[in-house]
Amino acid sequence: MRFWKKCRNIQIRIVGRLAALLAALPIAACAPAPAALEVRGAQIEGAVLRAQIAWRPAAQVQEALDHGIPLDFVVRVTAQSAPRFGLRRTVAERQRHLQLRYYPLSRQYQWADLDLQQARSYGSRALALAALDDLRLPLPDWRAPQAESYRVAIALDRGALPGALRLAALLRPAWWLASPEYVWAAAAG
Amino acid sequence: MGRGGRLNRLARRLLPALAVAVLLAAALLLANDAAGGSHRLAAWYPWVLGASALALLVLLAVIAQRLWRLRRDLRDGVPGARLTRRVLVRLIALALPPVVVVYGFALNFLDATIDTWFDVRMERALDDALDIARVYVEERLRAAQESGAALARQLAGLSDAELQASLDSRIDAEGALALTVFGADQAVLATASSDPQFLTPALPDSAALLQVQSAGRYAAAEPFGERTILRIVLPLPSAAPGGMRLLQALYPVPARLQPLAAGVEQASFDFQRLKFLRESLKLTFTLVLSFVLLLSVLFALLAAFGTARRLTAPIGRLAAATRAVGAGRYDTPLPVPPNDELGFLLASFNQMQHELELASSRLKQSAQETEHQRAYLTAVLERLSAGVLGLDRDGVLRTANRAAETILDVPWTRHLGQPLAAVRTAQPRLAPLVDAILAHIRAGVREWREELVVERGEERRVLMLRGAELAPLLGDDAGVVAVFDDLTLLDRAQRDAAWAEVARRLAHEVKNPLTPIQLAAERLRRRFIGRLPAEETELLDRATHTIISQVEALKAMVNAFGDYARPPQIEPRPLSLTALVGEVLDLYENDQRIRLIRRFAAGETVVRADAGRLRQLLHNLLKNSLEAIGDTRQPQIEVTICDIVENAQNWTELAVADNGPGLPDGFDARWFEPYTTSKAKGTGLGLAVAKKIAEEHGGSIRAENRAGGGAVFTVRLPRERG
Repeated sequence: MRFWKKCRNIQIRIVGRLAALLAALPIAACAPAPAALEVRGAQIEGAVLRAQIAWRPAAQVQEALDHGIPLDFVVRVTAQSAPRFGLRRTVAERQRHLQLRYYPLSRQYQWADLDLQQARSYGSRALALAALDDLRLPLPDWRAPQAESYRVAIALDRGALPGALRLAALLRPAWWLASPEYVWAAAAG
Repeated sequence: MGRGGRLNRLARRLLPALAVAVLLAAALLLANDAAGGSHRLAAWYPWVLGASALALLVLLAVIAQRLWRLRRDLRDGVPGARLTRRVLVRLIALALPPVVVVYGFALNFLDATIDTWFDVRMERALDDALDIARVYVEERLRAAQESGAALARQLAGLSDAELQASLDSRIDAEGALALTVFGADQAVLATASSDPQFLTPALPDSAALLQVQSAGRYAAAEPFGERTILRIVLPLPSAAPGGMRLLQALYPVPARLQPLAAGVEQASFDFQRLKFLRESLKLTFTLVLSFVLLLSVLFALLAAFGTARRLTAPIGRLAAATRAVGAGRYDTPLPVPPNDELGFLLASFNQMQHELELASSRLKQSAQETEHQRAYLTAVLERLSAGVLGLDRDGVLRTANRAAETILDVPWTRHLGQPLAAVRTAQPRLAPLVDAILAHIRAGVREWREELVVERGEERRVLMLRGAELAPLLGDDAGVVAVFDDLTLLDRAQRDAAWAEVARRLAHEVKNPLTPIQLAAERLRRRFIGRLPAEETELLDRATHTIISQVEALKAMVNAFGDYARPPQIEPRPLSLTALVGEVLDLYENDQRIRLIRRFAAGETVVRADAGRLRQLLHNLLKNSLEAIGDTRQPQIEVTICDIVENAQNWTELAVADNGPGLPDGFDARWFEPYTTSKAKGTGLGLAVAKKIAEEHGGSIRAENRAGGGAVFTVRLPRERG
């Protein structure tokens, strides 16, 4: 009797998981990406990128962060020349890697600039997220005198997630964190 | 096969294998990546998933196409299709359950195994350890606060210039990593560090400053690289008006405790991370196992198709070849696979097909010969003048030739397959023939022979019937064959010859003494008439007159017999029958006893005949009619000439009809024989001579009663082609 009950439980679990898997596939293929990560403004001041980024992480992402999953972001900034024959040329491009993680002992959230090996800690998640409101990223050796416009975008680096989470991150929209490109004219700063 | 066809075939072979390989690679990659911490292929995940989905679609499409083709083959009854379906179902039934069972148990096993990683007591212990570490850090933080507060008080009255010296002197005593005094504008006024990592002071952020403003201090443990530091920020009481100064002191966690706390934090953190990743890990393994399952199932399906095709292809060819053999075609030799039972079977089939071809050829040849023999026998039977009837042992009519139909005027072919007794019922006049045959069959007589007479209309047919059992030749149930000859003509010819001989002898034996008798009677008359007394003279006159007149009558009769017995010496030539008949009728035109009616066909009817003989024929018929009319009131004779076509031959019929008493009862062909008459006078040769003349001209004569009374004699003569 117990054996059959166990078998039935196994059966229900397998069917449930397969159903979830099958349901996730079309969702992954069709669902639109929520704009949870957005660049609202940006400026380049000398060799520093100042960006105003808004991020409303989903509960699942917050939970992952609180359970010690480091979240890596890639900030891509591009300078493009004026259009010539309808085409714009990239005159300068930089990628900056940021990481947000939680330290349970000190209960601190920390943004780390992985390229410059600099970090800043925050006493709460809200403070850490608020730090994105005025993000300052140095752009070493940045020269773009012919730049006519700039583009900046930020995206979660899903490849940096733990192996076990990568597939789920591909299938679950909560993990589709990539901002649309923010474009502004070079003259504006 | 064209280039396109080859490419198509190559694609059809390669695509499934490629799809299977992709699924396999995806499964391996995902399994490896989920278990390990490698990031090398992380960027390829979307491509791996996309390729897997595509491979899955390709495999499903290939299998669907093969299933559809199998369905079409089943519908069209293609040889081997049903066997393919059966093999396919068996192979799938064999392969699928173990795979599904293993899949289910593997999932359950993974589920259970991953869950066992998370022991509640261990989690609690780790949490407790982390709490202890936190408590200790907080203790250290309080101590650091107190120490920092004391230092702040000491630094309170110092000028900016004195601060640096004070910090330098106090840093070792405080055990701090760095001591920094900075202004409200975050300008560093003085700083000292005991660790090179802190040479550049890391100032607090705005949140910390806000807390300092609101709470009068900021104290927090902060991660710094691999270790934890304690940050204390305090305002320095300032003597200078308007100038706010802040002291930031960074303290380390004691060196002995640092790795322990870090270890506890790491262990707790790893546990929590693993706990969070548990569901994702299960999902990943489920996906991997699903890929493996799909790979196995689809591969099993493909393999089943391939195996079924390889197994059933020779059998399908064998079935097709068997159908061809069944249809009589032996030109489909089968390729023989080497050295297996199927090869032996196909080789045997080829051998059988070869032998069947030879046998069929011989059979065909034999059938042709039989058909030829049958046609030959049929032709012989059809051309036999004797009638032939074939019957089985039960008396059922099996065959009849044309002569049998002609002689008896019976459509035997309509009665084929019917018992002869049924034929007797349908044709009662055949009773003598049928009864004789059935009697002999019942009696089991091997051979018999008898003469019998069968009525045919108003004719009598004299038949010589011979029968024999076919058993000695064809077996016990072969039946019998009955052959009958029409002896009527022969019989008649014999009678005619006999009468001719009688006539000839009569003419020869009787005619010769008549003349001396007549002469003697005339001499007696000349010698004794007038010399004897009147009474005797009268007697002599009557007696000699009687003798002379009877001799004349005998002479006339002998002459008539002479005419009948005379061999035919006719001189036929084309002549107008209309004119000839008209001339003869003119002789009777003035006869007051009768009324002559002429009914001649329009135009002139020409026949090829001897005019004298034809006149004699017409005279005989007219004389016969005159004698038959006798005392009939308003006697009349009607002579008709008409042309007819029968059996694609042109005939002319000359009919002489009267309104007399008609033909006597029992009138038949014998009435055309000599010395057959119903009249008191007459020689009985008139109709016989008429019949003889008609037959001499290739014609015939028949007699029948008229509907309105009287008889009609019709002479049929071949019409001359005009």
